[in-house]
Amino acid sequence: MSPPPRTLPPLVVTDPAEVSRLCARWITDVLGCTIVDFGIGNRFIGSIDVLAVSHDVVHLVTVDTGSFADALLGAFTGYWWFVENRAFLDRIYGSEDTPLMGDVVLVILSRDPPRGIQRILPSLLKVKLRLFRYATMGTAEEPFLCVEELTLDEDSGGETHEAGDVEALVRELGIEEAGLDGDEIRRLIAALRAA
Amino acid sequence: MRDRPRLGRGLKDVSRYFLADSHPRGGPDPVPTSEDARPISVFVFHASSPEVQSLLTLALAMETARLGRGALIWDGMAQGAQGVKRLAGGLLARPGGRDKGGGCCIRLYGLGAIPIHDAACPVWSQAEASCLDLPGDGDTARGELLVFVNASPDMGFFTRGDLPDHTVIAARTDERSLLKAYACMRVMDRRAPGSRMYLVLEAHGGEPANQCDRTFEKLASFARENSKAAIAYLGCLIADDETARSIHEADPLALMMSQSPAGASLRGVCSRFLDLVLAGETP
Repeated sequence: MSPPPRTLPPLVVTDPAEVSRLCARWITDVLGCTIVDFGIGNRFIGSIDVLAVSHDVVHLVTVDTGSFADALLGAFTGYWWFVENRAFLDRIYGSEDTPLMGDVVLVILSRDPPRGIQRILPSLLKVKLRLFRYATMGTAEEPFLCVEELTLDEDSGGETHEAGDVEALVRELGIEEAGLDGDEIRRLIAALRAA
Repeated sequence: MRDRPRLGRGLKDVSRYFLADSHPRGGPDPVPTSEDARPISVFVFHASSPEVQSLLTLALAMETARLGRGALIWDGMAQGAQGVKRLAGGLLARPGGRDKGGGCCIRLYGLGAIPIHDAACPVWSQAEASCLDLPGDGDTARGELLVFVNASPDMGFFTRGDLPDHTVIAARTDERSLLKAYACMRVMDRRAPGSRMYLVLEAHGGEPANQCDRTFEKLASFARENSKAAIAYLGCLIADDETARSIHEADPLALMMSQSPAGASLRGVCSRFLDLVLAGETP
């Protein structure tokens, strides 16, 4: 965690919009992203607190301002909604500097992520995820956001789960009859991702 | 206000289509063929969008007719709302003459009629194609006819039924779409090694064409290493608001008045394909 100056006291920020604003500034300054928009969607069809782009990578940012479970669900539904409507959103929000057709990474910022979540999530998700813990410091006039990235344990799922992912993808795309094996699919995806 | 029947497509609209500079009227000389030769069949498949697939099928058939060649559409998606008929919209007319089967055809001034045959079952059959009514007044030799098969979206369409002479595969540039396109290539290549395949990549929202070119290179290179598949690249199909409007309003993109990048890219893809096929070149 980047240490705040010793004189900064902890600050309780109760307004979720204010927390989102602080996080947005951090996303721009530290992650180096260009912010495309705030608060897209709604709680029913999925929501994205901050939509940002950096080097063709789309960041779907969810800020946990209350319950981590709610934030997680919001991040997942937001991701689903984004993928389903990506072409439309790209027409509305995308530009040459901020294309929305690149790889997607889910970013979750939480005050108090549950213990061990950095081992659980990677084993369940095929979407790239970055998880951060944040704290607000300073004064109401001069708030300061301290952020620490939680290292995800990528190995917790193991090879068998990856194989399961490929099988699920084959079923979802309805390409079973093509007879592609998991190795060929993984090599193809790696070839497509190669620079 | 009361709806009035439309008198037809405007002269400006139609003349612009005919006077487009991609080909001289008449096109390449047709290859001499016998009357009993079978038609040239072309599968058209899109890995992600049945609507864009039908749009491409329709545009290919219209470009063929514009070159003075006989074209026919065999619609494997006729049972769904994404079939070619819905997209053809106001261009549809009931054919006269011998076709009493309740089928439709596309009629435009100066173009040969393009019959649309609804597939009775979603499996392509050359025998069935040989029995189809020819477009026009029967003056098209069967061997000069191009049958555009608007493929059914499931992979079973490619594993059953007869093989086509050419396969046009379109895909978006995301990994899932490319994987499905690759699966289609592998099926075709397994059934008929060295079959003629062509790839179209659909670009969204300002995605640069050279990025599509790079994606094609990666996919084609991988396909070459893992199969005998030889794939020709027909180019990038730009999907923008005009494309969405064309699909939504059933107004064929090739005939739209605006000179949109989407329309130009679609015409370019069709021209490149017909240049290759009519010249008898293999990918």
